[in-house]
Amino acid sequence: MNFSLKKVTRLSGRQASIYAVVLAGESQTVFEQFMAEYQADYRAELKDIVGRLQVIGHTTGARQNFFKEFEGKFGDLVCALYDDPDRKLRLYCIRFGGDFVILGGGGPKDVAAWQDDPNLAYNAQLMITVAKQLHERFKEGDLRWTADFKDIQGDLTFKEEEDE
Amino acid sequence: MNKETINKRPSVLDELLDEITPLESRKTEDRMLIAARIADLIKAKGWTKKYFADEVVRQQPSVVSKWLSGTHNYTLETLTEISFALGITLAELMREKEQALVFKSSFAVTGLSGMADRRFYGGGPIPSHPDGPIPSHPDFNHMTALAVNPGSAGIVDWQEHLTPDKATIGLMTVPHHGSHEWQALGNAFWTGNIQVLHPKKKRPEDHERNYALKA
Repeated sequence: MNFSLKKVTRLSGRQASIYAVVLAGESQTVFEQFMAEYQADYRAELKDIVGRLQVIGHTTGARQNFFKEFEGKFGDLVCALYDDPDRKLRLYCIRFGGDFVILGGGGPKDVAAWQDDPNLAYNAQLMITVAKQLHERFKEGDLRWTADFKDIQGDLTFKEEEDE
Repeated sequence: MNKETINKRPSVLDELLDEITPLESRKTEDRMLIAARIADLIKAKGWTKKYFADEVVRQQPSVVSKWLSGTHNYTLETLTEISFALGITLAELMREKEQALVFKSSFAVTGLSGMADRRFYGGGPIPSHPDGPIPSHPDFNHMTALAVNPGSAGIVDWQEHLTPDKATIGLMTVPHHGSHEWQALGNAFWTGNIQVLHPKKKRPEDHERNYALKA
């Protein structure tokens, strides 16, 4: 999968940086597509999601309790922004400690497990793939954290043939 | 159609953020800050979330997860229950955690005229004197500024120059860093909440810390 990472400046702040995945050939991030798709039917929930993300970036940092962990493979840090039972929209992310979050996409969650919903399965798998490639590039030493752990130094464009 | 038109259209994210009223924003922030405060207090007790749920408040772990998620709309009853379980008062629960914040400032004083609308060179947190907070009104003489004789050898911590309002004393002027009049008075370290800073004893390891340390 070919993709890149882009900083979401309005959500990022002193406490955490928030990035989003851009798939190759797309002008919008997956997160922007997610918002565009559900803004009509789930506007209140989307407002709540972006409001919380803004507080995470500027005030609290990406605390563990604000996310549902272990949504991906073991140790890959794929998680979802906390969604209580009354809410429907699920947003998949990758959380690197309290300082750095990568947003993916998501959708309404009416099933017990994401594997049972094609849209959620696609978005969860997408973040699992992003996490895998990102971790590999870190392991190879091509990516490094900045001193404050709020940004990544190195090439944030990923092409399948390069990483496999 | 063109790039310009496309660029001028606000993104969905901008639209959504702009729709959030200041009150809604405050509510979200407070919910998340209270959740963070409770999580910190549980951690400080050495409890796990599960232990807190099972043994302390005797609730389902999912209920405690919701409390700590930053989405829960706490009732007074729930907050009282949590503060009771933590062995603190409700007021203590709501109190903002004192940040382990260290601020360092180097600056110069060369005169006693003019208005210092910035508290000191380079800006930063607003200090308050132990005798009371220093208001931010520019007309308020917030510091007793002492002119420093350029010839004197005295390197003085500026915290010694902070006093409450003395309207008869002139304000401090702080020249541009590049000015030839610039003369460093030394470093000052302050710790505490950002609004109420207290002078901190200088420690050798503080010398390189010119940033706020995370709690």
